[in-house]
Amino acid sequence: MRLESGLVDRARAGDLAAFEALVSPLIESASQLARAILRDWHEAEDAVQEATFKAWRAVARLRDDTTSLRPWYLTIVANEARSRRRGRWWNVIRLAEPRGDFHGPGPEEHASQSVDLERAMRLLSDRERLILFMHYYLDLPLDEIGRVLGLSTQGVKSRMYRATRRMRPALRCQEGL
Amino acid sequence: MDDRLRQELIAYFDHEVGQPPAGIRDRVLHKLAEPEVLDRDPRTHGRVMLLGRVAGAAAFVIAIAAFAGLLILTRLHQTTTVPARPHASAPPTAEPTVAPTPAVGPTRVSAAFSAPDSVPAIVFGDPVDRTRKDAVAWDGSGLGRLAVDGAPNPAGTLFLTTTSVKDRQGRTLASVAGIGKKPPTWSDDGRMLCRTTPDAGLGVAAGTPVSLQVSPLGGAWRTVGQYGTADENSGVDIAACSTLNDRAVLVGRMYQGPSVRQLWVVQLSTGRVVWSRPFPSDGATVFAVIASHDGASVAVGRATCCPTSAFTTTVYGPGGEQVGMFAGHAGGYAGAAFSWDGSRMVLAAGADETEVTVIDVRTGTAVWRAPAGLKVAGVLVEPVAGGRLGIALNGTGAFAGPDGYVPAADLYLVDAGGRARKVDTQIRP
Repeated sequence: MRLESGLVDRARAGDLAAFEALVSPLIESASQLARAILRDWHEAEDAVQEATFKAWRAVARLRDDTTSLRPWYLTIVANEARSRRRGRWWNVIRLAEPRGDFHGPGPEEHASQSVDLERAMRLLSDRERLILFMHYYLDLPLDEIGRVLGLSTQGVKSRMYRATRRMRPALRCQEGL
Repeated sequence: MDDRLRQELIAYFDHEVGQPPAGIRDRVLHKLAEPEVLDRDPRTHGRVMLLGRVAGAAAFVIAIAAFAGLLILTRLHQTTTVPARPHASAPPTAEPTVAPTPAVGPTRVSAAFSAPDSVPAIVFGDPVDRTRKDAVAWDGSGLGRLAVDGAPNPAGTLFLTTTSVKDRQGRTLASVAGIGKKPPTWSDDGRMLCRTTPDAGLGVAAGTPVSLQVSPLGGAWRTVGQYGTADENSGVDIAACSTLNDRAVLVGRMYQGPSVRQLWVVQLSTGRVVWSRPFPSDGATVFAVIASHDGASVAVGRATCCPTSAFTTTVYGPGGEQVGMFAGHAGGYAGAAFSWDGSRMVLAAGADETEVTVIDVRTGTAVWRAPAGLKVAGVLVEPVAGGRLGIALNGTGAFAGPDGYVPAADLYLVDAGGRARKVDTQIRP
């Protein structure tokens, strides 16, 4: 997304309508990102709400050469969502047990493949899952993912490579059963 | 990555995340346009900071409203107790002693909560209006709305907001300073607050020592000691903070991935480590730790990795001795909470955690078994010796349902003997 410099200038000057015009197209992607981190739409919406407040407060500090608002805004959303996840009040043991029968495939091939992928995804760290989510589902380029997660583009690339390598044995294992 | 895996990933995320609830964009922007927010001109820094706190408070209160019902009042209040000491355990086998009654749908709670202020209460989100908070006494009486929001203490008598402690009528009893992103934890007597600081986050240098601190309501924070370290993605959480038993249970964990690194049980008055246990990454992953309110019983959930298998839940006694282990089940185990005296534990087992039982920790037998197919959405603990467990059950557990929100749940009050009563209203976890 290319920024309209007029909108940015107006937002910096305190024009809320201009700020809304800038972030409005990003809210659904941002909420999906927050949902991927928090696994709860209610929490995700709260996180996006608060992140949007923070973005509004910080918009005056956007650099002059900013060409895309998306990584900046998604970074705020991701940080807010991660903070909320750390701050959860409850403490429940939840073991990451895959659904279905661990010792064999389900009755339907499609369901079995889904379970296999779910198992494979559970082998990944949250950050690796987020990278895959942002790249393949939100369709973000690697450099933007790096900005959101505080990684270099090469760092994103290598983590994605490692993640897919780690997933494959679980998928092969299931295929061989 | 091949196209097939790419397509499968997209389908996976479509299932796991999906589309946002309808109207989310309008709600976010509408909220942003409210007068108090409009006043936050980004050019006026001082005013921005002040109003930022207001916004933070609002978000915090909203978050509390969302979570408090499902919450685990595992560190509840009032009577000093001596926990029953568990012995060797075995896989649960007993049949339920009482079958639960059929479920009813959510109904709006309109009357005011009527129990006296001194009576411990279960606090939860309204089943219809998730922004409101309701309560019911542990005997099932007094069901009604509360006039206050915030995180309840174990007895449900006091509520922590972003800046103060309030009673059930919403009257401010004490101000609380220094509440950061990670809110403090109530002590089990409901009269102290406990926190670890700093919290993990950007800017936290690797190896930064983490301090455990306690504070009386309205008082200054006192540092108990330093335990573990924090950085951007790891820190130390509180599993129990017991002023009644002079100990706390601390859990050092990585936040990128469900991995617990170390467990400490410490004495609050001296800072001494009573016992601790490291969990090195040597093939077995510790997913989480729960503790009884007094820190005398600690349950650790483990699985071998990877792929994950061989799930176990190990129970440790007051001195760190292993007193029981639940293992050998075909699926996983998820210990959810101890009863107040540590003699009972909610255990969710099975491939999809739908085999929910209340276990006698000493014998390993099930004293109550939940209706088949339901998952644990939250557990609340009655703050008396031999007290009941409030187990919230629904079809999806603590995760969101098809509408994008954690659905309302049936609340079963289960006593130590396995006698169960279902509360007349559903609760919003």
